[in-house]
Amino acid sequence: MSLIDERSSGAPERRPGAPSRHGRPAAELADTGGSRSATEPNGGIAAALLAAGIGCAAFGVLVVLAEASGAVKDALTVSEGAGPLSGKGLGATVLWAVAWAVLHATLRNRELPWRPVARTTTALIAVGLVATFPPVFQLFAH
Amino acid sequence: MNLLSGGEFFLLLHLGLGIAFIHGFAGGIATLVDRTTTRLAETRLKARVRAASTLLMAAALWGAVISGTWLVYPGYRAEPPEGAATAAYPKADLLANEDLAFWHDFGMEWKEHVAWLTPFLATSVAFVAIRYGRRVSSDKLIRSSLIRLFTVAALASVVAAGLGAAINKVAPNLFLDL
Repeated sequence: MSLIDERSSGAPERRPGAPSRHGRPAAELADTGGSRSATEPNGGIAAALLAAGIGCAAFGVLVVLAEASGAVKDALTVSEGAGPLSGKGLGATVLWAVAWAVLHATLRNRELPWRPVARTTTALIAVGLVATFPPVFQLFAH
Repeated sequence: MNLLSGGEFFLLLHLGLGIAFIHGFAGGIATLVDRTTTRLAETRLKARVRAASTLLMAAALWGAVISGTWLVYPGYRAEPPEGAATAAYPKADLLANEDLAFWHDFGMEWKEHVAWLTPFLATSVAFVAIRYGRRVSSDKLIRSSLIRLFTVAALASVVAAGLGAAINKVAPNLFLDL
């Protein structure tokens, strides 16, 4: 099962400006939490979700690499107290932030089909979940 | 008078962030799932609650992984000096006992790693809820995607918190007094 709803995107449930059964435009009745337009492209949303997936997958890959290589584990030991977990967390956070910035700049003005976004995000999150499960990453122990 | 040691304070901070996470998740998921938009005042309130709740959950999860990794975890994984008793060194104590080693090899290894996935997921949900609130309200596919990400983040947090509670019960806690 996909973590993300894959049906193709995007049409708002009510046409913006269409009168509701209460006689007021739907946009007026819809939530108003900090958004700019009911028809704003979904590219910025896709960028945020894909970046979250990239952060999860990057952390999972770092966990496996640290398990497989003593050199990587040493390199990831940013803090002696916290050990390699400190470098895994910092590394994944940097990759997530950079990926998000690049994706947001690239996609924010585009309306994307939701299925590829959903499938890619689901796959990336799955990589993170599987790679952080001990019986899996301990298979790579050097 | 010393009410708390440093270790106890850090653990309480870590646990307090877990409580904040639960409140953030409750408010966030309730306002993402609820689609009733009958009165403007109610929907504005709902959007504000959703924004505040998702932001609270993201902030709490960042706080939990940062405090857990850099403030609590070093005390757990500290190596005992040569010949010292392991009572103040939880990781060493668990690994020294064959019956309890599972709680480090599986329990702590899963907890410390799966927890780090949660702030990425929760932050993306909070950003979208705040920045694209109207699209979230009107587009059920996007709202459905956010609900799933938010739920995965919450379930992973529950796994981490549950394992932490179990390990805290099984392993000695003398390191908190240091």
